[in-house]
Amino acid sequence: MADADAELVAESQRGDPAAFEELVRRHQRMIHSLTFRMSGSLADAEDLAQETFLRAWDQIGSFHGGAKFSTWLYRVAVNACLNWRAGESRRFHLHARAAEELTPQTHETSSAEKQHEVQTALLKLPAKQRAAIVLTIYDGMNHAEAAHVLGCSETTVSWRVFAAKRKLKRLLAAGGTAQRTPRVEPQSPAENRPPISHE
Amino acid sequence: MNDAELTCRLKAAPAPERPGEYWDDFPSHIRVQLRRNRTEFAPKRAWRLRLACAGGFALGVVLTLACVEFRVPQAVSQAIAKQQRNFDARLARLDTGLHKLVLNTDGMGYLLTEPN
Repeated sequence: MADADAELVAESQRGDPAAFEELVRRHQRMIHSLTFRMSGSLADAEDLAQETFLRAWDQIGSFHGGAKFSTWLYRVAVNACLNWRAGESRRFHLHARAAEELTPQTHETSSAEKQHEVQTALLKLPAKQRAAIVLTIYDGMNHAEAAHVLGCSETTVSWRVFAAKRKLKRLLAAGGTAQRTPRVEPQSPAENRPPISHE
Repeated sequence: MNDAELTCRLKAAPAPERPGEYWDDFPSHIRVQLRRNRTEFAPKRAWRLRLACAGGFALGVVLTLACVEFRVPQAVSQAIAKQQRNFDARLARLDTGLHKLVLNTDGMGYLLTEPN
């Protein structure tokens, strides 16, 4: 295992929580970013990140150093996100929170508007396509690395990326057109609910 | 919109930043959770151990009973086989005696003597 984390991983495998805490410190931003892209909510991203690290601690004995620790951790995080099935009530809260967190206020810059638009489009993708986009575009993985993390073939990743890009282009183009029209605030939270797709 | 424009647009939307204290606190929060999980799991493990012991004891009792039940018919069959051998031996002696009786002209006196 020619990995900067090798020693900390070995100590964690021997049951040292301090070593694991250091691993969490090193990888927390990466995992939070992934879980935010996957869930669309800061609060759920936090829950998912926490779940990821707790699962990683439970399963760290099964890490044999065949890949980088960060890749293995990504896999744990992606699985946690894909297995995350929100009930209707939880989904309602998610969207309410997501709207609260992401809807730009009048004094905020247009980058917040863009962020909201992109995140809404991402949430409309099926979860596996969303994961493929997050890994390849935001985390800069190639299709082989993404396939390793997602536990599928490279061809499957290529197809998911292709399908996701096609859908995102359509959604963002539609969003861009809508941006030029006056924004109508929804009257109830249900109207403010962008559909989240779990494939 | 081509692929490059899409990638550019996606990357232009960064994830919202969290305050610095959040990143300082998160790892220790995970460590606390690990400790809590360990204490929560401890009674569960003890309960599982007790269940495993009870299961092992029950299995032992069942196996013992099965062995005892198996030995009873075995003893009966051994007794029957022994009786059968005994009977066969007696029948063979009777056969020999009758043969001598028929061939010997000395008469009934042989009937009262045991064949050797």
